[in-house]
Amino acid sequence: MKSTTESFGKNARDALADRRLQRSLPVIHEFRRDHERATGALPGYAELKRIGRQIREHSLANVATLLTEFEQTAEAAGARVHWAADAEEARRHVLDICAARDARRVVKAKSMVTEEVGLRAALQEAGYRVWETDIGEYVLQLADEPPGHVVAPALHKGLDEIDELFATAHGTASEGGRSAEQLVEEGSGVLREQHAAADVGITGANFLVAETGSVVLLTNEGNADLATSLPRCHIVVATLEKVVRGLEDASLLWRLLSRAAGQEVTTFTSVLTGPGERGESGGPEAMHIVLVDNGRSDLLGGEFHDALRCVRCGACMDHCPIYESIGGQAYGWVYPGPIGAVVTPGLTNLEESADLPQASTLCGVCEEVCPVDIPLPSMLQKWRRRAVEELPQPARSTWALALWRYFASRPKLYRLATSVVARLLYLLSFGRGTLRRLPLLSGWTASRDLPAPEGQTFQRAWRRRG
Amino acid sequence: MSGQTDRVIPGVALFATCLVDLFRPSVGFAAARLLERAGFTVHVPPQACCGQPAFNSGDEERARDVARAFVDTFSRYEYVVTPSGSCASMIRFDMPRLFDGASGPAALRALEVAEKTWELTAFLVESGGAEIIDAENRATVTYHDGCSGLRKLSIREQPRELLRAVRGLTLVEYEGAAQCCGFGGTFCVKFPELSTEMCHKRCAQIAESAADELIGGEMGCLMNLSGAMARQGQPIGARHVAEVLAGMTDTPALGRGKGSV
Amino acid sequence: MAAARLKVASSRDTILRNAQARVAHLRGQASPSQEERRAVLSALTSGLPSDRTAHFVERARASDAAVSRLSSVSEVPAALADLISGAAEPTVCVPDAGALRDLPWAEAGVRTARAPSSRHDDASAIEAAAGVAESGSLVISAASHDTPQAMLLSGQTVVVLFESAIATTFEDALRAVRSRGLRSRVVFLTGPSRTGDIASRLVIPAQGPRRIHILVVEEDGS
Repeated sequence: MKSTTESFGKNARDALADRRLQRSLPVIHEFRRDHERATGALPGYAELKRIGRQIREHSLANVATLLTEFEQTAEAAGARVHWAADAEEARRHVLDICAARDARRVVKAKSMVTEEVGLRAALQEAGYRVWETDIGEYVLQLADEPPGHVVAPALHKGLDEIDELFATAHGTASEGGRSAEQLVEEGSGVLREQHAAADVGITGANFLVAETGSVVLLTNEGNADLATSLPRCHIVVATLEKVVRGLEDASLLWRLLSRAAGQEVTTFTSVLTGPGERGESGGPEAMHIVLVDNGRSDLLGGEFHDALRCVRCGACMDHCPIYESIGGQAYGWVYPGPIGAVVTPGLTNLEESADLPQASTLCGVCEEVCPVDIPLPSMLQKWRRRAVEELPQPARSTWALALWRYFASRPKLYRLATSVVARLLYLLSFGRGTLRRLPLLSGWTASRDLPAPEGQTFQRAWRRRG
Repeated sequence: MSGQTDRVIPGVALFATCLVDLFRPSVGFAAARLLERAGFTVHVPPQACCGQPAFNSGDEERARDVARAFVDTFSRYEYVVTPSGSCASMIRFDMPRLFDGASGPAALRALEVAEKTWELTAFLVESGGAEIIDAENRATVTYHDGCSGLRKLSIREQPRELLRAVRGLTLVEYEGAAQCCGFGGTFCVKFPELSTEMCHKRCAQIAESAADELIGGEMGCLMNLSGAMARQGQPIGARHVAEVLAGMTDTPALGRGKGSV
Repeated sequence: MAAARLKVASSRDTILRNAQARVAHLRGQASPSQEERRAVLSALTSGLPSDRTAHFVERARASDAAVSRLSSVSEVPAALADLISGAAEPTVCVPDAGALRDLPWAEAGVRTARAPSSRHDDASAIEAAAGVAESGSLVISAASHDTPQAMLLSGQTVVVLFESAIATTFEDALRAVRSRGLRSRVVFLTGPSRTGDIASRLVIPAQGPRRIHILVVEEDGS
């Protein structure tokens, strides 16, 4: 997927000025309430969280062994496993499979990794008719936009916008004002026809089970099950770190994922092992599983290893005050919010995404709500350190920090210097008690008064008091 | 440092923090008074900063230089107390990590200092509690939790418990109390629009509460929130919790300029 | 093609070798023990009432499924006839080769078909391999795609669940299902389909199943 992480600052300002977006974003307060209800109100969440983390740690520590096992069991169940080192190879596997089957029409359920590797665009370029079948993703396909959230991709789209998009795409004569129910009904009808007509159904995976070769999918709409039950071929695109040892690991994790995402249990938890048998009315005869690395194996074992524990529940973004202010698209790549700010520099490159780890107050709410305890703030901190080590820094902040270091590492000199500064700022305030404008601090004073120092520093006043 | 002895100086070394030192000396005096009431001798050695600005910017080398000066100064005292949750957690958790893998006196001292550093209200609750509070205040106030204090040091009940001992004071909770105000150290000048957006959300929530004054334990948050409220013309001033607990509210509240109380 | 296959093989080996080398120092990481797992499961089910069926029914209803209780499987055709009465020439899709197919549907005046239909008036009748009391989920276990298709496409999905097949937890249900050999499709279905994707409003149904009616049958299925 094309990245706009480099212009994060501008993206964020645009998002703040986007009135439609700002009208939609407060809905994440409801996500927070759902999270609280699904985690706090039900018994056993703390225990579930502890064991879930342990399972994820174990899976990552044994990822190569588990993937090898998964390959064997999945193939024994009749699936075919493909390995993709990068996005290009992942796209090529899918294109080859589609070409070999003489496919024309492809339906695709929601999957973050397919966004990451730019699969839809590649298929369309190759001449396939591709339909996103998750209703939110379908809306975004019509609007030609990337997802803004890992669980609720179109949360930034208002009812009126969706009404317009559907009316145009479906040729329905809407005068606006249709309800969510009416829109879902219309969208589902259109998508059901596409499911029935498709040659290939593509899904992601929430978990890959090494012991049985199963792919586990957690969904609500029914589209992923349609995509794996109607077309003749099912392609799974999944990233390496989704593998777990056994079904009994998966079942603990699916509870945890679902609850952290704000729902006690998803409507569908589908455990798919092999392509299945074609019965009276067709369905898949082939199942292909494309295992995508795309930078993940390089993160294993290093400073950002723990971020691979992520189960993509979205809780960190739902609770993040930055995400709350600008939504997901401003982050500029596939994964928004705190987890996005941690994995994007690792999976793309730090130079272009250096703003993401900076755009945080390190308030820590993300770590608090993370179901697998990913230390997100300290990882953001680690990216900041790497940026200082590896990237050229703006001259102004380098000078400011150098000057600050000079004085701050010499307490007595610092005491003297700050008492001069305090005096100076006091004089600049003309006795009004506040400063409304300050040359080097316009970022502050554009929207906030600065209290003026009281004339002398605490240290000086304390010494004087004797 | 030359002339340093191994003997621990009894009492509390007050680390005022750079924001209090420069902008709000009254908080330092209030903290000192509270600590004295709790029975401690208070020392204010020459001091600068805990290193947070550099550390949070990823500049660990410069942060380490500043931290080295800090531990040189403060390792001699029995306790280190600071009226800030974010500085306390910097000293407790991050400062020793700056010397990870290093040996030598600074690394050892960083660990020692980390173990004896306390955030002010947590220290007061541990060493006397509500009994040392002798103050009266007729205001209706609301409390803003600083993020580091709240999430890294679990400081939530301590300031509230102490505030409830202030005679005449009404404490009401506001909806955004536990949510970030958008200060974030250098964040507020690196991303001023984002910072302002977060800050304005909190200001609106504070305005919805019945409070006529905002109290907090973190100067950065208080300067941020009161500076925005002042700019918006909201008549709500802000004070550090130490001033209220010590009964030292002669200085005008933050955001209320001169003359208003 | 030969070159492509070579590349495929080499990506596999590169990925695995890289992953293996990078996590080599973490190999001691233990998987949770059986005791730890049991402790979590008992915490998860701690508040559960002893009447498993009653709890299942309550949870299933909370997931927006309708539930009726029957004493014998022979009552299923009549119950279904009731559910679809009022519809215009309804057909019931019965995909299973098992117990449901052999019921006296005609006697109850119900027309059956093997292929699913997506007419809103039509229904499907499928048998759940298990139920999960913890969550009110049905476990649909099938080797062929007929059952999932019937479940997804029908106007109304009627699921027959024998009371004896109600397990307490997902794990218990999985064990029961696996004891008969893991089928290609094992779907834990909790209520009708739903979406929050349109302006974050919860809409039921989404794409399918549209409605779920569970018939809990007291008598043993065998």
